[in-house]
Amino acid sequence: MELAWLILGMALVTYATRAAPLLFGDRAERLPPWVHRWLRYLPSALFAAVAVPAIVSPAVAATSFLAHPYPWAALASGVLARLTANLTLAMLASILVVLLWRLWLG
Amino acid sequence: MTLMQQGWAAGFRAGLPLTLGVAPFAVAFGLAAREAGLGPISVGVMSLVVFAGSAQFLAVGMVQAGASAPQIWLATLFLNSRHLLMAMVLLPRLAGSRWWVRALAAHAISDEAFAVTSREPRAGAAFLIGAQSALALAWIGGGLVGVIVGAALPPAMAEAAGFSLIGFFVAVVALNARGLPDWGAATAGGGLALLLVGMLPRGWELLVAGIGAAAIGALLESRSRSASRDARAAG
Repeated sequence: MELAWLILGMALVTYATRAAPLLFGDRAERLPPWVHRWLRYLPSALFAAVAVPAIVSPAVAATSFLAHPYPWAALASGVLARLTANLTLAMLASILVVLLWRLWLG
Repeated sequence: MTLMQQGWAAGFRAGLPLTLGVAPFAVAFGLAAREAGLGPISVGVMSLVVFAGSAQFLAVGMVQAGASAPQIWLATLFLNSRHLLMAMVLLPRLAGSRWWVRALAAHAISDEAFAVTSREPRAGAAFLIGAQSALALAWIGGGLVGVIVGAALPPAMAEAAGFSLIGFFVAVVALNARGLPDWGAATAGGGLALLLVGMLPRGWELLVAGIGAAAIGALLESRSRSASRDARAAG
């Protein structure tokens, strides 16, 4: 039930961002510059806010921070993204690191 | 064929090659969503009615972090506000269509459909909807494949597939970072979330960290702008 509300609300909010200019014209262009600037950094900020605890918290609970696959998988993804500019490859690398770690190191 | 059907078909053809790029992320979304407790119906419906990759990934990540629905709605609003800018660019191309075609075309605005439509000077609402229809096959179909296949995976593979979500976030942050403000926003986002977890009610640490860190990024950008202005003035 909670999930149905979650999806419905996300759909409404997302549709609103897509349809607002159709209803109100290009008035949003007059948003102050600082809002535009803030919105530009929001994806990176939100992604990092979700990703970093998900990487760090399980790793901190392990015997040693670097004895956990998540920091290494995240490193592989970040480095590959910088080197190849290929999101798919970077994402696959992170999956592979976790998988191989679990198969060989437990 | 009517003019509208022709436009739709042209858009569909233009969107087809992009499905190859979308499919891996769609499957990854399905796998990660299953790890967060979503079933095939939730994944299929969400991909159809929300149809926004980054926001759906973020939602799954926030569900796993224990965030509530209203918190996720707010994050969705922030993250998808870039649609506003795309919709404004497309506005003149939609002007000639009937209201219900325009209403449907609004739902067809995604990063990929926007990209192919804005490349095509004569493309209108029908083209946009056609392109998004092709992308929908990959986005919804891939998500369903992920969530269904995920159920059959052994635990190690399921955990690894679930990590694709985090791998995706890290890759996007690393790829989009061009300068100090980007790295500053990302570092602050991660750092604040770690710092605030446990201090704020569950889920709020993510929103507060995201909102605050984006402000830090914007502040760093204004600073570097005024610094380069000063340098030019001094030179």
